[in-house]
Amino acid sequence: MSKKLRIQIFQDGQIQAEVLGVKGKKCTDYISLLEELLDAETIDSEYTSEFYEPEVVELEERSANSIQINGKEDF
Amino acid sequence: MSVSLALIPLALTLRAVMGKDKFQNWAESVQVTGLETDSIQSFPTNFRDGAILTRTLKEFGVNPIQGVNGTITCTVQGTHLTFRQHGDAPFSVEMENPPSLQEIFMYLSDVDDEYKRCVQALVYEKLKQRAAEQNLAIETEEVLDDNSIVITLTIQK
Repeated sequence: MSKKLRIQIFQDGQIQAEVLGVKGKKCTDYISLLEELLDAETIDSEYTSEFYEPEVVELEERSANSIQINGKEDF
Repeated sequence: MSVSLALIPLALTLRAVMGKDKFQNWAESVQVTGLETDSIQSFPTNFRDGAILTRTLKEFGVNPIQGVNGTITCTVQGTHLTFRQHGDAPFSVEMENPPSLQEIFMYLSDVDDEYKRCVQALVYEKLKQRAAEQNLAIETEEVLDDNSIVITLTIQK
């Protein structure tokens, strides 16, 4: 899933924002960006299940490196 | 989804003191100060941004006058109103001898609704402008039945 920001601006001025497709703690990097984009301050936040999921891309990279190293060791 | 946030624009205060159902709370917060023969009543508001407040009052057909210290004055339904702000705190409104407190409150509730719509429009405009500056592409944009605006941005970095 690509990384996205979904922002809903209500008629009473309040805002609901979601960081989508960013797993783990990296999603918190986008909180200050959202505050800057919206000229707003966060009054409540909630982590969703995706926050607790491992970062797949990073694991795949590490796994690939590990295979390469093992490959060299085999020679 | 990984994190969900509730945010409030800096132009708004978190407290909600001016909804049409809140007249009693508002009236209970009254501070009456004697000023010779006149009396001035001061009430809290949700407004934090003088420029948006001025724009909103103009849209209501009144002629707001901005004072040197950020004070905004106008006359509504024969009542002289003074919006006063201390630092970053929300404006308070002072009214001199209003003939009907409830009528003025209802009027200010309408101003409050319009002020919030102005905030919504300004947040939307700024978001589009700043998203482009941050290299964030707008993927979708729609207005829902409740008149809220939903924008989805793609993070390209």
